[in-house]
Order: sequence, then C-alpha cells, then structure tokens
Amino acid sequence: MMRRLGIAGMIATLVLLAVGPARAADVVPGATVEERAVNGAKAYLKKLGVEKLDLTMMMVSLFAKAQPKYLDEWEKLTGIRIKTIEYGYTEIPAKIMADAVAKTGQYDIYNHQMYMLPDAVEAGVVIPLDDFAARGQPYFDDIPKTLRSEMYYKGKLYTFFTDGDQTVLALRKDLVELPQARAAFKAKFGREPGCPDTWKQWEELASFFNGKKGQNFYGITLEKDLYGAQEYRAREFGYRWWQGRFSSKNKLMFDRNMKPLIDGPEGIETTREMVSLTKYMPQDVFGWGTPQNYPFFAQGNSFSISTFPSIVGYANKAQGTVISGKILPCVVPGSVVKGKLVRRSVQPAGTNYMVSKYSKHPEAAYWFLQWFTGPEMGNRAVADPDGFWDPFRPSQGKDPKIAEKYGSKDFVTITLENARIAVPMIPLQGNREYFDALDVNLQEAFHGRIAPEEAMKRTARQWEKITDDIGRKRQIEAWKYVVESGAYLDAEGF
Amino acid sequence: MAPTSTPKDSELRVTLRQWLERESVFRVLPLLPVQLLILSLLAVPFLLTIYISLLRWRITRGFWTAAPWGGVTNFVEALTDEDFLYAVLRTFVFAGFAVAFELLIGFGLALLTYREFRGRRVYLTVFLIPMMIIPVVVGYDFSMLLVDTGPLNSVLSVLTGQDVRIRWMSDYRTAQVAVVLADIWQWTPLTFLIFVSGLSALPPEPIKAARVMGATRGQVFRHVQLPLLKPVIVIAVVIRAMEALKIFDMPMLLTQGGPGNATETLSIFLWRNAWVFNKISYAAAASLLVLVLFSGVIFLSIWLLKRERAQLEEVRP
Repeated sequence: MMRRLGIAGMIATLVLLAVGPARAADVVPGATVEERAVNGAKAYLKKLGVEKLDLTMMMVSLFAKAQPKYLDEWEKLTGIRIKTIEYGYTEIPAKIMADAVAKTGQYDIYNHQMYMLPDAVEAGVVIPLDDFAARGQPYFDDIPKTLRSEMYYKGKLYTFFTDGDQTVLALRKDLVELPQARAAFKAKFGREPGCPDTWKQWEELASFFNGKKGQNFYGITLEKDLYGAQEYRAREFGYRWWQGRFSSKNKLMFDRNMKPLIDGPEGIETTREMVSLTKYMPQDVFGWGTPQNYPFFAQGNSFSISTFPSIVGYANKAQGTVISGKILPCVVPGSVVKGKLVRRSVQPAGTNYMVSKYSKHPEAAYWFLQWFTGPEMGNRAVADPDGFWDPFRPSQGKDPKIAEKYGSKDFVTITLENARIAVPMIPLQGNREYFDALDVNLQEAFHGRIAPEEAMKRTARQWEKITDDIGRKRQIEAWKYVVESGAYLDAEGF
Repeated sequence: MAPTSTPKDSELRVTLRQWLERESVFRVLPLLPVQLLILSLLAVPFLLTIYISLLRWRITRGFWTAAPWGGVTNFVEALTDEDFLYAVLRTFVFAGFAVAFELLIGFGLALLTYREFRGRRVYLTVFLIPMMIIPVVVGYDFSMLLVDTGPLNSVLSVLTGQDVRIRWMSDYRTAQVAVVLADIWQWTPLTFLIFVSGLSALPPEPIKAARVMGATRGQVFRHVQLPLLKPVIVIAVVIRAMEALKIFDMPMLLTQGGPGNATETLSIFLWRNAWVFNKISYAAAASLLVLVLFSGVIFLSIWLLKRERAQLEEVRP
C-alpha cells in the first residue's frame, strides 16, 4: 500500500490527516444547510456577547409582501432582526453604487438581481463569502451549472439566490387542441401543433393561430382579436430575451479577446427572427413590460407568450383570467446547430442577496443568506403564493405546494428543464452599458428603422468601445472565468 | 500690571474704527460670513465636478481619488458622442415645442379669464390644478391615458369614426409628441398664471385712453396691451425654458427614454451615464458642457429681459 502511494502520496495523506480534522472542526454543526445557518448565527451572537442584533436589508419592493414573514421567522430562530428598506428594482443598482462611494454602512444585505453582481464586486461594495461558506457548508450541487456560475465572480462566491426566473414559453392549450385547427395545421406544416422545437416553429404557430374578432376560427367564433405571439419588445426588456435566443445558436457573445461575436450570422439571424415574429404581436407590445403583458395574455388576447415562469400561476389564478387551465407550458424553443437541437433559456432577472462590505456584522448577514436560500427554506419561498421566487432546484419539482402555486405539476417539470438550460445575461463589469447598446439597436431593428445586420454591426462596434473603456485586460480575465465556469454550457467561440 | 497702550496702538485702533465705519465696508462686512458660506457650498462641488471631469473614473474602479488622470478626454468624447449631441438637440426641440404651446395656450386662457366675471375663481382654480399635481402622478396618468387601447385613442376613434390605434408611447415620433403633450398639460397653468397676473396688473389708463381715441379691441391689444406685457412674456419664456430644458420625469415615466433613444433628453442621458453606466467622470464632463450651453441661453434671456424693461421705461410717462 505504502509502496503504491509513493512518498508524495504519503505526504499528502499525512497533510490530510493533520488538516482534515481541523477543517471539520471549523464547520458549524447542523444536519441541514438551514440548521447550520441558525447555529452559526447563534454562535456569532454568543461570540459578540449579545442576544439580539439588528441588520438592514436594501430590498426589492416586489417582495414587500412575501419577505417579512421569513425575516420574522429568522428573528425568532436567532435573535437577529432584519429591517428592510424598499426600493423599486430599477433604483437599486444606483443605490448600491452610491453606497460604494459613500460607504455608509447603512445596509448589511443588498437584495437585487443576478446581473448586478459584477459591478458590485468591482466597485468593492460586496464581500466574497467563501470563508463563511466553508464553515456553513451550503448546498449548491443541485443548482443548474449555468445558474450556479452566476453566484461567482472571478472564481469567488459572492451571492446567493433563490429564484430561477428563467424564461418559459406558454401556449393556449384550448386552441392547440381544436380538432379542425390541428388538422389544418398538420396539412399546412406537416406536423401536429404543440410545443415548438425551434424558433421557426414558434413563428409558424404564431402565423397560424391568430385571427380577427368575429372570425370563425376552426369551429369557434373569436370574441376578440387573437394575436399569435407575445414576447418582450419594449426598451429595457427586449435585449434580455435576445440573449437567450442568441445563446441557442450555441455561440458565445465574445471570443477570448473580448471581440464581440454578435455581428456574425448567429446574431443577425437572432435579430431577424425576433423582428419577424413581431408582426404577430399586438402593436402595443413595443411599450409593454410585465404588468401589461401578463393581463393581456390572461384575458385571452393572444395564443402564445415567452415570459417569466410566474405567467402560468398568474394566468391560472389571477382575477379576470379567462384561460385558467388552458395553458400549455413549453420548454423554450431552440435552434438546430450542426444537426443538433440547442435550446437555451435566459435568466432575465433572478432575485439574489449579497453582503455589504461596509456591514458591521457581515457574518450575521451571511448566515441569513445561507438560511433563506437553503434547499428547504428556498423551496418554501418558491412555494409562497405571495412571492415572485421561481423554481430552479430539481427537488422543487416534487414539492406539491410548488405545483399548487403554479396550478400545474407539468409546468414545474418544464420550468426546471428551462432552468437547466438558462444562461446568464453578460455577467461582466459594465454589463448595463453593454445591455443598453444592444437594447437601443434592437429597438431600431424592431421598429424597422435599420436592418438586423446594421443593428448587430453597430452593437458590436459599441461593445468594443465599452470593453476598451472599462479595460480589455480585466474584461478578458473575467470573461475567461465565466466561460470556464460553464455559464454558457458548450457554446462555441472562445 | 495694567496693560499699557502705545500711541502707535491707539492710532491703529482709530484707523480700524474709521475703516469699519465707512459705509462701503459696513454694508458688506455683516454679509461676508454668509457669502463665504454660500460660496464654499457652491464652489466646492463645482470645483470637484471640474476635477472629476478630468479623471477617468467609473465607480467600479474604486474611489475617485484613485482614478487615473484623463485630461480633456471626456470632453472630446462627449463632443464626438452622437448620443450626447442628439440628446442636446432633442432637448432643445422638446423645450421649444413645449414652451411655445404653453405660452400660446396659457396666454389664450389668460385673455379669457383676466377680467372679473361670474365663476372666474372656479375657472382659475381648475386651470391651475395640473401644475399642483406631482409629476410622477401626471406621468402615471398619461401612461394610462396614452395606452394604445386607452381612452385617448378611444375618444379619437369616436370623433373620427375610425379605429384609431396611435402608438403614443412606442412609436419613435408619437412618443416624442406624447412627452411634449404631457409637459404642456402640466405646465401651461404656470404660463397662464403669469399672464393672468400680468394682464390684471396692466395700468388701465393707457387702455382707456386708446379706447377713448377710438381704438378697436384688437388695436388696443396689439398696440397697448401686448407691448406692456413684453417683460411678462419674457419672464414666462425664461422660467419655462429653463425648466423645460431640464425635463426628466415625463420621458422617464412615459417611455424611459425610448423607444430606442427617441425621448432621451439631456437629463436622462446624464443620469444614465452617471448612475446606470457608472461613468461618473464622463457624466461630469458632459454636464459641464451642458452648463456652458445653458448659461448661454440664460444670459441671452436676461439680456432680453433687461432690454424689454429698458424699452418699457422709455415709453412710460
């Protein structure tokens, strides 16, 4: 045995024997992630010699109804009270950056969305959590690789999340199942109507399933205009969906030298597909965010929608919905690349939690993050009808309360598949500047003011300038980490 | 030992006292601490802005003290940045249209209501209400009114007998119109108020004299009232132009500067660069260029105002 191990092996074994127990002793006791978080928090208070502690969280106002009950529970378990200061999600990035300059120490935890992380890290306003995690042993193994990669920046752990938020496609099941429509669709396109495999197939569905008010539509009379599709086209939204679609061409947005690859055939095709689908959408869609898109779909005005997972629960249960039980959730369509179907969803938001560098009690803040986003607590949050946290862990597919929230177990299974293939939105410093350039040029293309080729060419040019301005070397380094972490799975171009 | 004073000391005390008793000194001295305070409050941030504009600071590059020197790079970039130049142009066009309509409508309404009549107070109150509403509420209300399937298009459909579906907030041209419309609705009351006050304060004698001499209503208005109102008009133009050039809330609330950059005004451009892109130095340089530009407009306005006053003084008996 000793001979087989050799001298190096012996040394390694001795080191492990010496260090292992010490490491194990550092781990906070507890059978679950949540128990260890509670015990860690209690131990921290004991070390401080206090029974109570106050922390403050900058919180997205969307969670004003759902989050407080978990904060109360945490306080009862540990004695740590977390006050919240609410802001709209569009305001929070500026608030975090202002905190980076003012160094107020007013906030211990920042709650925002995953794409905020690179700027927050580079501004030095959040801290790495690896040392705490080594003691708390959180469990990330079941989180899809692409989403897990977003918790890290340049190889260090900075944020926890409990919200998949990946895009989903939903169709009108009642229309798809119309016998006459099925026969006519099959005669025209050579296949049964249903969840599309490709973006082209979705457009075919949209071109077929639309009609005017009063029209006899394969055996039913349309009570209102029926639009073929809904997908985000408004400023601040359209570019998010573009990134998911582009990723399904299995191409990275930058090469290893940060040269943009979006002005190649894949980027142009993506834009062209989005422009083309727009003709089956209500013209109002150019100004619509989620508050407008959801009710429009729930009121039975359109056949299909690509949006956030919560659309299914909303369309099944919202007041005034006319399509409850009539929704067919789908894995997002994809593209055929080298003979293989590649589907990619995108995470357009994704609620996350970070610890402020200027917190007086970063450890206490950390334990809350670990507790709230742990597998058990996370599942409770996702199942919460008041919350906007969406499924992403496989265990959530078996949770009856989560199925109840969305009104469909099938949907949870599908959204988990979408989570598995959900890619992040450019997780690099200055990403909102990259987004804005893409957004503005896409808007021009959507409105037919410039061709898709021109839109992509302009965006690529602007991205080069942004990269140079931020510092190409540091962006190359960060991008390398992103690609190697598997954030874009097996996309090519690096 | 009691303190002694030399003749030289007492001479100095007398000189100091005499200096303090001089009217020119006494008038300025008590105000000096406040003036210094105000100057420091204004000067420190202003000088800091100039300094920061000469750096290459992004918030994501640490604190500004560690930012590299950029010289005039930011200014050159701003002056060659299409987005900035278009934002300048767009802002002046918005302000031009908005202020022109606000003046015309405000003046028209003032002419209708400046004389006493039954129910005048009700009209005055109603006309002033939009100005008192918080801009955020106005923006929200307009976003509801201008929805493509919303009330405004419905009214237009009834009036025209056709299905009117104007994309008020999502089409490049109409979005610009929508922003101007909202601004006109909210700020016409201010010009109305200025004109009502101006018309009410006009001296009655020249008007009576003109009437006695046989002038028609139109002639009285054109040759007597309008010239007397010129300073008031200039004041209305200056106040509204200065405010309209800073327009931020309406385009932000209605369109977020979109579609594309169609409604991105200077204020939104600066905000986006500073607080969305974290390019503080660049935003500082652009804001200084805007300051120079706006200063020109303000000085021109003040010069106009002074000229009108001088002309009015000349014609007054």
